[in-house]
Amino acid sequence: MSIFITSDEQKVKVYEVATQMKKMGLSAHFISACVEQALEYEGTHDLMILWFEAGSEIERNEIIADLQDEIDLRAEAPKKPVKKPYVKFDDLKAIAEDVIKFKNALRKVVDRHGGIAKLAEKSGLPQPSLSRFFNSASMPRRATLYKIAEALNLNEKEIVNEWVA
Amino acid sequence: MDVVITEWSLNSYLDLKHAKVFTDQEYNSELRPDAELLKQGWPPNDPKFFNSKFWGPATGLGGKTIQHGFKMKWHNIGNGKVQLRLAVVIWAGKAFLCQGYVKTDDKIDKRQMALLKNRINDIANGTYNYRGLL
Repeated sequence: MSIFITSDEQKVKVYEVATQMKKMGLSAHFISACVEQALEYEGTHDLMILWFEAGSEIERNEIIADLQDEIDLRAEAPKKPVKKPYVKFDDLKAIAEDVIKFKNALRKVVDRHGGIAKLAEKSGLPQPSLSRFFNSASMPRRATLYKIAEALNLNEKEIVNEWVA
Repeated sequence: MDVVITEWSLNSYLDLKHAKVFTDQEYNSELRPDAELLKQGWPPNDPKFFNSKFWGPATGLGGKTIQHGFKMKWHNIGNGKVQLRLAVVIWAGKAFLCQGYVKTDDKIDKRQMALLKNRINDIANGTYNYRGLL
């Protein structure tokens, strides 16, 4: 029972933005995933509109990272509400530090394989999305880690982390 | 009213905490007690909720109100004296804490509101993870 469903008028606009995204050099794989979701989720449609209207590359890159986050989020969404263990506020700092430590170690592996740009090319993940991933303290998504592992031919042990979302 | 800590909010708080956006003292004396006011029920009676500088409806593109979406607002938070926002969804008699973010400009707010629409869909569809109750 979705509340915010993309209207027919908005769907037409999604295709317009997709065409512009292609002209700007974004991958067909990424654009098609955005379109697929935006045809259903009005919020994703709104993000595409904001990308279209963005006044700077920095802003457009942030929105691309948002769009990829939404794509990965829906790929792993549970079928019903799932309760995970409670996290105390006092533990947030230590968890954030653990996550950053893990991502820094993974970043070193990525750099040995040619860096973020090369990883973006191999994994199909947009570069702004990977930059956000490595700079953020939020828990890594399994889908993202598997795409990185696949692109760099890493084994499970190299991408395993206690705080995978 | 139950106040649900979604995984989205936990992740946003990890980033805010890591970026030292707010101090532990602000969290304990201001941010958490304010969020806990939601426990009192819906619609809220506390006078703070009648102050638009603290609480208001979420608005999307074109200034349209986002049904079920709200924003809790704090001003001059942390050493950076930032504008901190917490997007909240009221659904089925529960308050869902969705995402905390620093509002540096209106563009960030618009992006966060677009994301909030998707969160509302996920909550309505039951397709979300949560980390217990506040």
